[in-house]
Amino acid sequence: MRKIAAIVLTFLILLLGVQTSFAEYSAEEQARIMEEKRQLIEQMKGKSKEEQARMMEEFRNRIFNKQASSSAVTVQRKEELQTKVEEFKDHRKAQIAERVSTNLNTINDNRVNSMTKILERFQTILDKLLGRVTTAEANGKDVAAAESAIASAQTAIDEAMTVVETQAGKDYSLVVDDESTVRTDAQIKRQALMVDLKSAHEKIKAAKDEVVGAIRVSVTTLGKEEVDNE
Amino acid sequence: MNKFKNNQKGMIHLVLLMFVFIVLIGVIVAFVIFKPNLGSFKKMAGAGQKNELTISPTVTSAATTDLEKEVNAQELSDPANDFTQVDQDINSL
Repeated sequence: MRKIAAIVLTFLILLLGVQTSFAEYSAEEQARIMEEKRQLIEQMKGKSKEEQARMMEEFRNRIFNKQASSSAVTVQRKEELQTKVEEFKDHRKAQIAERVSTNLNTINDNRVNSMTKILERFQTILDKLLGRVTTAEANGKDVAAAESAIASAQTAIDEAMTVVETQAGKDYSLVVDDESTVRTDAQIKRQALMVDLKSAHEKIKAAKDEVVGAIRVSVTTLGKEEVDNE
Repeated sequence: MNKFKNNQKGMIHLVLLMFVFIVLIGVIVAFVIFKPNLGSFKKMAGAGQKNELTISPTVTSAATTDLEKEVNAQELSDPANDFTQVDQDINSL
């Protein structure tokens, strides 16, 4: 009986030890995340409106440059495709292959432009929200939760921006080996574009959810008047 | 005979104890070495998920801020919608 009691006791002591180490790790991790968020908020607060506008301009320029360099590749691949389809016996097929190639790149460009505008809008809204939260802080309100949510939203926007930037530099021109495989070649490119756009779309949605989350946390903790206050 | 049984019991207890020790030490060592991302644990437990219950749909419409309306105005359609023409063309290849 004593031995069983000793085993149970030892087990409980060890279990307690494991729990403590998990708790310590969790506390450490949380402290690190909080510190990162605090630094991010400080950075955001330190930016003037001119700096915010300049950063948006830089983002647009990066997208433009990526699109320009991808266009150069597209032009070269278009010429290669033209040479290849000239060998096709079916001229209708050749025309369609060229059209698919052009349309895939057009879809990508349009999507990138649309996502860029949306992210710019999210960034502007988040900057506006931070401004209002800062005003609330000056009025003596506890803004810790709101700032933490804003930092999360900023991280989500930054991640989405990186994905869109990468997407801007991609080319989806058809690379055709043979007339008999042109359909498969087109399907492969189409699928690649679809997967990439879906992935970027998810990032934009995540950023949107985070921005809405930040607004809601601000409303809950500071009140609607503070958040709506121009 | 009794003494032998007692020894046997003692051995079983000892083996059990060692087993518990080894398992627990294994868990601790694995945790220290791999440092699992706590985010994934939290995600599994549902922590960090948006608590939609705090703002019910009926309350949302009345309490929605101008900023949230601005965010919601940014609609991004499903990329699949863009592929209708391309899919038709690919099918006719």
